[in-house]
Amino acid sequence: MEETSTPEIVLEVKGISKHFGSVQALDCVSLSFRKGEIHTLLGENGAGKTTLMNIIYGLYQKDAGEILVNGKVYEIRSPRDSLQLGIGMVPQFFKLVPDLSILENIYLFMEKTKFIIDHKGAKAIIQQLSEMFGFGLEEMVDREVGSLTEGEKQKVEILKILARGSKTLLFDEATNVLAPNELDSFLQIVKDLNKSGYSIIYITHRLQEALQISDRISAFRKGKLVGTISGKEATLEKLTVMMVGAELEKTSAVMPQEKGASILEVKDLNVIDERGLLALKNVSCQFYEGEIVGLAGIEGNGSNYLAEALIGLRRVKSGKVIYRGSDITRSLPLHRMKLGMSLMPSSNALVPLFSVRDNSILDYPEKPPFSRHGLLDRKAITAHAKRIVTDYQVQTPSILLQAVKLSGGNRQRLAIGRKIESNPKFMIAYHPTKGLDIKSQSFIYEKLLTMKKAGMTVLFMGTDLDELLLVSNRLMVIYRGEIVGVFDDLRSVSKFDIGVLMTGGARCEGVESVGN
Amino acid sequence: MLVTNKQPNPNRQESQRRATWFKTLNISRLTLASPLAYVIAFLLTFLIGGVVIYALTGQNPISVYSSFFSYSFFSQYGILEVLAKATPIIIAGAGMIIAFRCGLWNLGAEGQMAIGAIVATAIGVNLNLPAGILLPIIFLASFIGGALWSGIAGFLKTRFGVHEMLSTLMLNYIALKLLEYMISGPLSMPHPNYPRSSEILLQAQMPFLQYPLNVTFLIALALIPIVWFIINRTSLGYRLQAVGFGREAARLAGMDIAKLTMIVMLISGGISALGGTVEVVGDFMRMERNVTGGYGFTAIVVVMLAREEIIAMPFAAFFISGMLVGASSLTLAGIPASFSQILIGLLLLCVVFAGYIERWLKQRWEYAGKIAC
Repeated sequence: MEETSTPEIVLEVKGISKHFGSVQALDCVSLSFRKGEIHTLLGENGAGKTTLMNIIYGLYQKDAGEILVNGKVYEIRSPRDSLQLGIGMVPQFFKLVPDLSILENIYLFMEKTKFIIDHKGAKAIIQQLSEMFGFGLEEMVDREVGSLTEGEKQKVEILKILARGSKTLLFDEATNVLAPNELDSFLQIVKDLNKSGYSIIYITHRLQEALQISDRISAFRKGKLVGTISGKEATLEKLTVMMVGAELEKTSAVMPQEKGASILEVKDLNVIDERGLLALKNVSCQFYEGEIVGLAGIEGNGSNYLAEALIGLRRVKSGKVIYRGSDITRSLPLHRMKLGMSLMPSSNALVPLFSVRDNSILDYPEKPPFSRHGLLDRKAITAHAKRIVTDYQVQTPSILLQAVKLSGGNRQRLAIGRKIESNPKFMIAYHPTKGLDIKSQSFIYEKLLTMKKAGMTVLFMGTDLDELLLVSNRLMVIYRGEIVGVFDDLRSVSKFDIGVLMTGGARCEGVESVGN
Repeated sequence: MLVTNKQPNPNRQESQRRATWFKTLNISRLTLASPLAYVIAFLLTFLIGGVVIYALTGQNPISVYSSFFSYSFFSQYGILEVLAKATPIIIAGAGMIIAFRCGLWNLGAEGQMAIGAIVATAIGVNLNLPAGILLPIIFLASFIGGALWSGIAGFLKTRFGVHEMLSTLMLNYIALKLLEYMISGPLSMPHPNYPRSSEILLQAQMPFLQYPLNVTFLIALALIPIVWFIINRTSLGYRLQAVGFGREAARLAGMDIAKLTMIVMLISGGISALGGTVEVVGDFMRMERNVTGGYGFTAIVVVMLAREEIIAMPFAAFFISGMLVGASSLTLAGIPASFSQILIGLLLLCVVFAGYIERWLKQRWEYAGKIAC
């Protein structure tokens, strides 16, 4: 697998660790990048690959470890440092000034040696680069960036770092913004750049892309580097194994159960995102009383849109949502909550500057006994808050403590307590255990399972398959806004099967048609 | 850039060492950050002001300041004047705080006051009813007028996403021009020497407690517990603060933010408008060009100074009012009266600056505490 002559290492990270709050985003990662290779970092969102890139580029500061560029240790404190070392990044979200021309945007980023703007010189360099790699921007360098397509903007971003003289190029989830027809030409550009001697670090969660362009692939999971394999040996199966984790044969121990009465039905739901693209495409599914349905999906594939559309926070373009026989497609969130629906979010469940007590009624401040005729009843609220704090083991010195001072686990305990106390019939749990310690996680599973036994339905959205298989009776998989798989009996389904679907590996043969 | 070996930050050790002197007082230093920041702001204001006074006139700033404040706060007439001037400021500020607590920057109190004054004058001049009926009608109608006026900003915000800071500021100028039109047109008195309305009917004129302090001052004071109650004890207040402090959390909890925005803008504008009403029925007894007197803008300073706290707001209003009233004594020292406006502006800047100092102190002290552990 290794070539005989030792390849030149342009960039090396040793023992890099980084945490955000209680979450270990990167755990002692060591990795080297060779000169002139396309090295793909593969992993789910939150696996740590983007964090590593941001540390190399100087946007984040590492907790521990060192970065070696051309064999020498450097302390990279800001992108200015990394750019100086010849490392440039094409960010996932473009950092361009829409009112300035392509030329001006790139010029802004170039190193200034003269006080007076050297338009002609800059223009010549940019046009030359654009022509060299077939970007097709030569004739339009004076156009305003705001009028460009996303694909063209991306090319401007690439030109920026090329013009700055970067030799190692980082691409962060570069294809997320591209339309499907722009994909091939983009990958060709990456290959061409590589052929002309640029070293490329390519971050993605899409297996096909990784297989198409990589010389080597390193997979990340939960902040750890799983391993590195060469592009030649990589197969879909191997990559899925690396991405999803060991115990691939593991299946669920949850017995399938008799379906109860139907509670919620979704028919051909289409939802549009902020850019006007379809975030959900013809999603149909059905839920029954007393079950937990997992929705496996990597972030960015539409599960957040589904959560918001179901609770009424996002407008639906077409399709229907039917709750216990009545059409609620256009109802307000508050109306849906009164009917018994509830949304348990991964964050922002609490008002940070409100006390624990005040946060305990956030979903239902109007409801008696907490208020009557518009007046709050402090006694009732205090009793309610105390009950939640006790029953849901929220550790706080006082119910008057500001919620922002609680730890993440206690915040989610308070939030789920508040949700469950309103006795919901259908709960959408959107990544409810994200960033929590194991104890808090299992506490939340326990509460959801108890509620399920009492007849509540839970739509559990998540990325972690261990978690989903632990609690779900049934499971759906969402990929690029579509439901690509529904499993009614989880005992026969392995993590591998689900992982392949989640990453767009293949459409499962024999998947039950959705919605029956 | 090329440094690799980490050296301990000398500043940290320094703050760690200094962290001990305060422990003897047995108070958390964090609780003192806010008052300390205020003291710094006031000192800074009067220091800069003092330098300017000395540079302009060569007089001792301390003696100028003492005559400045002794009239406002240590003479009987001065105190009454301070309270009288504070009346419309408190009312406008109370309306404003409701919006600010919801994260809405209603800077339109001046315009809303103008609308309140117009409505009060129109009714006060023309509607011949006994005082017991007429005055409630005047106040209610002014409230509605002001509410509809700020409601325009609320509508623009919820329907088209126009930022309320801009729309309310712009509406001020429209309302003030409307007021000028009213006193030189429809509401003008017959044959005026300068644009002004007729005097309002006698029964619409509210009595003076002791001139120049009018009964309307008590209305302003009564408004404080009412607004406090709305904010802290009603479900409306709960919801509006939830939106103000945690917009995303409120949205996820299903609150109808657009509807709430509209309600809050209506109430806020309605209350602020009463500031203009009291100027008509409790001071001018008619409408003139300067009936709103810039109090709507002064109220912005007052609310910022009180950090949007309704209980603290009247005290901030008294202080600012004192600076306005004391301005006349400045002219005796050969300093233009408008210098007190400069001081007020300076104070606002320094208080904003003090906010940064406070945050910086808190961060530093909290951090130092952690190192010590």
